[in-house]
Amino acid sequence: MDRRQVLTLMAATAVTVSATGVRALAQAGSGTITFGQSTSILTLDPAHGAFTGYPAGYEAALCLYDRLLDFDASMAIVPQLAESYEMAPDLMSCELKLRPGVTFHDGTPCDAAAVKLNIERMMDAERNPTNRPLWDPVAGAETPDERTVVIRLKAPFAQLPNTLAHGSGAIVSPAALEKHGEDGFRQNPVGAGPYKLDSFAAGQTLTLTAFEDYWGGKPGAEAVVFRFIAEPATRISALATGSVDVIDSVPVQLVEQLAANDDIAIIRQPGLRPIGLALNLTRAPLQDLKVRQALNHAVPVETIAERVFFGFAKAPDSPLAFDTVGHAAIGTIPHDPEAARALLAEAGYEPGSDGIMQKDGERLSLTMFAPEGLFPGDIAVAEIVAASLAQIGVEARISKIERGAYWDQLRQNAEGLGWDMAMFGFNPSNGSGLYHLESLFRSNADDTARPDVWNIARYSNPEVDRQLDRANSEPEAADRDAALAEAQQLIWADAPYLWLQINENVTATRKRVAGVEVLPIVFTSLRNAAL
Amino acid sequence: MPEAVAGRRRRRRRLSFNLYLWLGGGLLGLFVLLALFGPAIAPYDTAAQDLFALMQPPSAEHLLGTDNVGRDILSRIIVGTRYTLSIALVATLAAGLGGVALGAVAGYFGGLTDRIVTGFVDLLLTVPNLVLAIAIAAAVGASATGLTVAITASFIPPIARLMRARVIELKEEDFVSAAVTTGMSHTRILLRHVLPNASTVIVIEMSLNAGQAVLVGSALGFLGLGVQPPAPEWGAMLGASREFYAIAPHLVVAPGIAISLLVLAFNLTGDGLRDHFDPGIQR
Repeated sequence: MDRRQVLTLMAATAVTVSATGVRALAQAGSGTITFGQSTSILTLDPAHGAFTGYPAGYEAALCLYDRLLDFDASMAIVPQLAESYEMAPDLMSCELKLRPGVTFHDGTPCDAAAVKLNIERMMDAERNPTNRPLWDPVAGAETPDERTVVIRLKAPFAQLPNTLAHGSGAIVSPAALEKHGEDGFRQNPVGAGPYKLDSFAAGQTLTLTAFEDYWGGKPGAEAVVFRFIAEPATRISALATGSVDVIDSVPVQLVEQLAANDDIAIIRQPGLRPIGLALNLTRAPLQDLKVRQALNHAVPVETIAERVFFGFAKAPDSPLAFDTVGHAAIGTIPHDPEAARALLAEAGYEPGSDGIMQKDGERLSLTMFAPEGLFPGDIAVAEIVAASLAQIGVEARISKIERGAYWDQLRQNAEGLGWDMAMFGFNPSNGSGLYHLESLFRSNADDTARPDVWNIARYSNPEVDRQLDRANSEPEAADRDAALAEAQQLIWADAPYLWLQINENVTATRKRVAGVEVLPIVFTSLRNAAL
Repeated sequence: MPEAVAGRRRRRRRLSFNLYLWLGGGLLGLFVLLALFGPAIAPYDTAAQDLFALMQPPSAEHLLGTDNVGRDILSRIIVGTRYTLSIALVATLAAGLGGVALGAVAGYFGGLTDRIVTGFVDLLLTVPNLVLAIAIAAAVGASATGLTVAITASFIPPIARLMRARVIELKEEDFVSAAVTTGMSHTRILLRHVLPNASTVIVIEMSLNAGQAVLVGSALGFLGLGVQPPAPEWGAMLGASREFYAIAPHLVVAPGIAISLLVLAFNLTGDGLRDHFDPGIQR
């Protein structure tokens, strides 16, 4: 195992070096890149709520901060502030060697002591109430010397490198933290990334300038400006006129028009967030596997992906998105209303006088919660699902829930659940399929209470739990993937969701800007962009 | 005033009465028919989708084209009439009743009652009616009932103020004093003598309010606070198609024109009624 990991790391280092080379070539001009963001930046502290609002704050953090480890384009782990890392065979600790001579924007050294302070800060649920599943397994950090950090874990935790590469693993300057305090830091961020803070008007604009002493060489632009532009049409015209160089979240129906402009390049990146309808397994009709399978056969998901999302989406073939680490292709569910009706008949349902299926006098009528504007095309998709279910004699009543109240409506205790089906999508922001499956499908400690993480369907399969435990503790990556594949197979067969689609993230740039990246985890990164 | 001039004025007034009221009334009648018989008239089922015919431009098959999930827009506009019209009518009538009751009580009894009612109404008036409606719709939840309640509440204040002013005027009239001296009960005086004499003003105000109610209702629907999907409410149709405006403008145009026409119908009717009833206003 050790040898393999070192090899991966070496290969990854090579990639990073060549990326740096590209940047060096591209940095002929020293311009200002302006990014028109669909969400606004409010705070820039990895703790205390972690870079709000999402994803704008994280996108800025990618330029402002370095982390110990990083993701490459395929979500594999590559080094950043740590030159190398090594998980212990029992997965109970991890030793990291830090890059020498790195300083923060304020000139203080980014050494083992600084890293230790950061790790302890993120462990502290008081100061860092968000991203808990990522940080809870960490027990502490030790610093044998000023370039070595050993992170201790409470239980075997194979995902630690993903946590360190996650946005919340940003390493902040302890001196700046001391100076501005826990409350002041969020507006006065100091990191060790390629750009440093110039000015920040929360909710409006953020201006970063190149950090001359960056360990990776001078960054690709003199300055990066983040501007909040909520309305898609306004973002697009700002890009077309050149008042911004990059925009995110381009509505898929407008891509074609935008692509016709010779000065504009479109970057599309499949996301990691599978959208589906969680099925409330505390409700009698949905406890029947045949009913859940029937629902899945009733909806033309391929057609939705192709027609409604103009091909900028795909129907899933597993509970995990295609590019999530650990994804295994299990199989697609064909649109087959005949099969769906047959399954309902097998489950004991017969059409009633109003055409709706009945069993023991109970109509198969389901309440579907859907938000407006939280997921791509959410209401349109909900309407299509309702119409498709009507075709097999299942009534689906859509209840549109106000955006601000939506997450709370999903995560109720069992008694407070107003829905039979609820639209939901989980974005595994550390890129790990294990994190994704654990969050959604590990049995809740108590199904009547609020779900521990996001198992809102109240799915429980002891064998899945066992495979997830295995995936957390197997020393060999191949065995972990096998356990994950096994879990995906079981979950897919149990169908606790009506699976819908996986959307792509679409960003557009002026062609004069090079190196803009869209990560599968939603973020548009300007870290390696050059102008 | 010489007899001839007055006669000409009356004739002119009758002419404009004819024009506005006939146009507005006719249009309104048409909408009422659509609301009553919509599902029978509509060429397609409003929920029927064709995912292979999304956002089709107007054609012989679909006269107003299809929407973002492939439904016939004409059918949705026709059937949607009943949502918009019934919300506007019910809200206008309810606001009329509530406003008249509050205004009459405040104006007739005066004193502390007046101050309490007027204070409450003035408080409601300080909040713009759309904002008030949004707050109420958010509290009651997204449904046709919530929408109706919201519009009703936001339209009570102007009617209440109007009614109060009219009642204070009427209270000083001799026939009211006469009724008081004969020992008639307050309720009886209000219903028999005050209300009939205030009704003209109120009816005109209400018919003008109805147009406004259509706009506020559609705005709330547009903002996603209206009826639940897939119900074809015009404001919601407008809201759902907004993001496709650049590639399929007909999605926005159809409900937009429908809303404008209904507002026009109410406003013409209101203007016509005012011209007819209110001799003080001359054109």
